[in-house]
Amino acid sequence: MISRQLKEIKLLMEYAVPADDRQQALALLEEFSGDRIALNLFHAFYSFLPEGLEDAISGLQVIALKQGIFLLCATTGIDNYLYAVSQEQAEFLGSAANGIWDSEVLEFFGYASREESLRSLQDLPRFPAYSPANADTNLCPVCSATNGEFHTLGCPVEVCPWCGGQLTHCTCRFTITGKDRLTDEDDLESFHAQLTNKGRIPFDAKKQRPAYPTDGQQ
Amino acid sequence: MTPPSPLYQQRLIKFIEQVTIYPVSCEKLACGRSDEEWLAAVLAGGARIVQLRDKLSDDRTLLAKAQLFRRKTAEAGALFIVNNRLDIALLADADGIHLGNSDLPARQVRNLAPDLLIGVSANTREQAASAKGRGASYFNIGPLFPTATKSGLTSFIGEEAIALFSAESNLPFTVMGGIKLEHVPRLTALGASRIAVVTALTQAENIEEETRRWIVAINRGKDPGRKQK
Repeated sequence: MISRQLKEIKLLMEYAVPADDRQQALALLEEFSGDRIALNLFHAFYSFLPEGLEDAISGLQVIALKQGIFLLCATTGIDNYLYAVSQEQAEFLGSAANGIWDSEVLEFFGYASREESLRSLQDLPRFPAYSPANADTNLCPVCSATNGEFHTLGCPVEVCPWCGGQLTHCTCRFTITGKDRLTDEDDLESFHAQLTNKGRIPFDAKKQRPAYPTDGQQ
Repeated sequence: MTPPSPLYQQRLIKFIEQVTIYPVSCEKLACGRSDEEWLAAVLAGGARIVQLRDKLSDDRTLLAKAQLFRRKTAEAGALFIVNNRLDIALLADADGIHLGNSDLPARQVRNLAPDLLIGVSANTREQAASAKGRGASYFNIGPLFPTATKSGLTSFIGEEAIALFSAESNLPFTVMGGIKLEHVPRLTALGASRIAVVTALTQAENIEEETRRWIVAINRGKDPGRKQK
């Protein structure tokens, strides 16, 4: 999947990136070639080009991270653009110079108002450069939840609070809901409520680090 | 070769004779305002053409938006162009389509849509020279200017491209990219009388007033002796 996405981005870049900037833009893409968060952002940017003009991303910064959703700033030849990015998708939010307008996004990332987001975004250099989420051992390798946060529902790393197994693979969800299959939003919401009542197990960066089994030798 | 239909000719004449400012939509760069609000403001400000550019909405939403754009532009007597989506342009009865370099080939679109104005992007002289042969009705030259950035990426083709590119074709053309109101006198003096903008209008505090200001500036540049009303 990642290799297909990477291929698509490279194709988009052939049209989207000015020839003089292509080498630099491809080098940055290569740096993040195994990272779905960055690739989702690259894909969203190069298939849209906010100003409708050739452009290229030259850097990514982390503005905030909550429950596996990154608020990232992409610096391009034209502007600094904000994206909300998960392992699933990237959503364009607009220019950093204008702050965040979407009330849901403001609330999610803990900004009281657009003005507060504007103040926070005024000094962009203070925000750290984004490094591949999949290399950060403090993040869930699948849903990017930080240590102590809940996983995204459906993340295969989440531990089942009923049996201690893998929540997406054990059969507790059927036993608890009394259904053979969970097929729609209502089923999921009902299961989510029961899971929350029971007490979800948050991501633990030390204990929940999936890896291939070894023979005990390092 | 089939001669252009009366409808196509009518659209092209309107484009050539009436278009000055060419507003392009981008809802996410419109400071919290919707495309509908933006449209009402640019039309009230006197725009004679608008381009709907929305790559984020799903197809049904985009079609509904395009149909709304069609109704409002028809009421205002303005041309309506859809970016990239031939299906949406045809279903919404738009006047034209703008095709970027990675979009559908203009030649094939022309075969399917003989009555539509077709705009193509020209980032090189070769693309400007081939525009007519590819079935385009106009081409867009850009980006003309570098924009404020700290990225180190500075690709732009410069205002000298206006003379160079336009010499390659007798099609009408628009210019775009990093253009500010203060550039207008210089650009019109160089022969650019149709200027496409995104954020210059989407991010204006008063979109209607700003549209008016651009139109006045372009008209003044086209005809320096003309008194503005």
